[in-house]
Amino acid sequence: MNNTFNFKRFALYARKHYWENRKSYILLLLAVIVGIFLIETKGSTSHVGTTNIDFQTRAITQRFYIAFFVMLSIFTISITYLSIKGSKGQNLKMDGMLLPISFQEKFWFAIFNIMVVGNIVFFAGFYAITSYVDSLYYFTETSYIFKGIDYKIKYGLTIEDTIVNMKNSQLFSLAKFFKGSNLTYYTPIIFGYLYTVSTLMWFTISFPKLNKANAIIINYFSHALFISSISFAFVYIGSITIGEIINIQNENIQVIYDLPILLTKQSVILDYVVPIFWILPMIYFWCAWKKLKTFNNYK
Amino acid sequence: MIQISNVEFYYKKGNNIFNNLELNMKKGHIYGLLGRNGMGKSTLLKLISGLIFSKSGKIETMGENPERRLPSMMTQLFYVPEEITTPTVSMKQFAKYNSPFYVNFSLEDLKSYMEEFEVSYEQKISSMSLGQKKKAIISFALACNTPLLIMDEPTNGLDIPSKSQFRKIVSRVTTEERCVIISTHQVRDLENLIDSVVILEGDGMIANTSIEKISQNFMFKVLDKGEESIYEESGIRGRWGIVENNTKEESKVDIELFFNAAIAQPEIIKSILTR
Repeated sequence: MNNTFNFKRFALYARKHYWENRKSYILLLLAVIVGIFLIETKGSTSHVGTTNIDFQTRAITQRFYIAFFVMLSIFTISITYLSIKGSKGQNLKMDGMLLPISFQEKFWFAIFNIMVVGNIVFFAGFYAITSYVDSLYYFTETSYIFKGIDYKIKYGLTIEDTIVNMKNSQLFSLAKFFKGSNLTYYTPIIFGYLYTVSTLMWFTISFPKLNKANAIIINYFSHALFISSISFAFVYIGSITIGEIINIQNENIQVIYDLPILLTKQSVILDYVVPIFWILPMIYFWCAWKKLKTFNNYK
Repeated sequence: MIQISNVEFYYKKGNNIFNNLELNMKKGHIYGLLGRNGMGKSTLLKLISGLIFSKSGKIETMGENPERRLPSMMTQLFYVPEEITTPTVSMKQFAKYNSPFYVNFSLEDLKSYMEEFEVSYEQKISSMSLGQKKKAIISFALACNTPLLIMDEPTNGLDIPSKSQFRKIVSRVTTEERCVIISTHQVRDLENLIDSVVILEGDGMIANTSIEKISQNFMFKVLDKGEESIYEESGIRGRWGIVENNTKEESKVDIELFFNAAIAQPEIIKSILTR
């Protein structure tokens, strides 16, 4: 018998996982959909209705960011918890530690569920909803949302007009992200994301055995790390692509349109210094894990 | 089937549950794991299953290190924990999604055990009473036909007819190739079922012996006036006690009395059993 990795067992485990957690996933998706919809439609409405396309864009972008961060946090933490809960050592669930399935199969299923299934579902859902909301409330021409540069070329927009495409550029850059281009820029982001997910996984494993104070500390760090790394990744991608659309080196344009200025020396240093703060919670997690070694799934 | 040598285990340092524990369990037997509360019955079962890890010493479960919890070992083992958490599905669905992991699983067996226990195959397990849940999970455990079956306090929550049913089914399904370990603090529940007894006390084990050997070495009887015993209890029938069997006469083994004697006079019991 293959004790390391068997695709049949992996598939059986996935089937069992989705079946047993189907209600949680449905509720989670509904909560995320409603949350995105509410933030996009009800959040920060001060600029809505203005005829100034720049203000309107900024208001939309603000909502877009809030909806993205809040909902992605909730979604990722929930899906991480759901993916790993069967492996928790504390809870002697029959279908957890006692199931004849290898650690590798459980681990890769969790990774697959969080990184692949979770991302596809979230991003597809998120962009579908935001595009729908935008087309409903802000832009009448829905194709505008997806076409980015093509739109600019087609309609012969000026540089100033292109600022409107800030959000589009983010969509565009995410598309590039999934295509794997610009790896030089995205590699730290990918590692940051992996790092955050692993942190979250430790959090979910450690959580049941820790007291409330420890759980709150872990929760705080995990959440803060998650938000910071994702936001860095997101703004970074967005600004790089904006840099391609409007000449990012032109600081005047950046100031006029209040664009995130991340390609300065200071910001580059900040990008590489901030991750150092990850060391502290990781030490904490390591200590917690060592303490809990008897109970958890790994040795 | 199970070999434990020189095992040390503690949850808190300085408060050892086991110290130099030595234990052998063979296939073809139904072991009753007895001990007072907090003596490490559940801990021992978890160590055997690889759910917790020993601090030192060696444990082998079916020739494997249980700490690795390899699928090849786990597919040959079923553990029924004392507290059961089950998903909100019926046994029909539970079996559909869990049975493929167990190569020897038999759906016919499952249905027949559930019928004998009078538990619904279609009802959601989470909506069942504690006793019904136990019976449902025990049925599934038996239907998996694993060579090693571990049950932690399986009779807790079962009513009297169900306990009797439990004894009947378990004794029927135990074959020469199977080892069943049942932990309990309700010794009477296992009477007429187990053929071997393991008694845990202090930071180790007092006895690991067969019922046959107990019967050969000890006599359970109503004591005569002035007759000395290893251990005795007063009741309506008079003094009911345990004495060394020097006459080789056979008497029905009273597991509860033997257990109490082992707790009260561990050294005497040990010395007689090792002769």
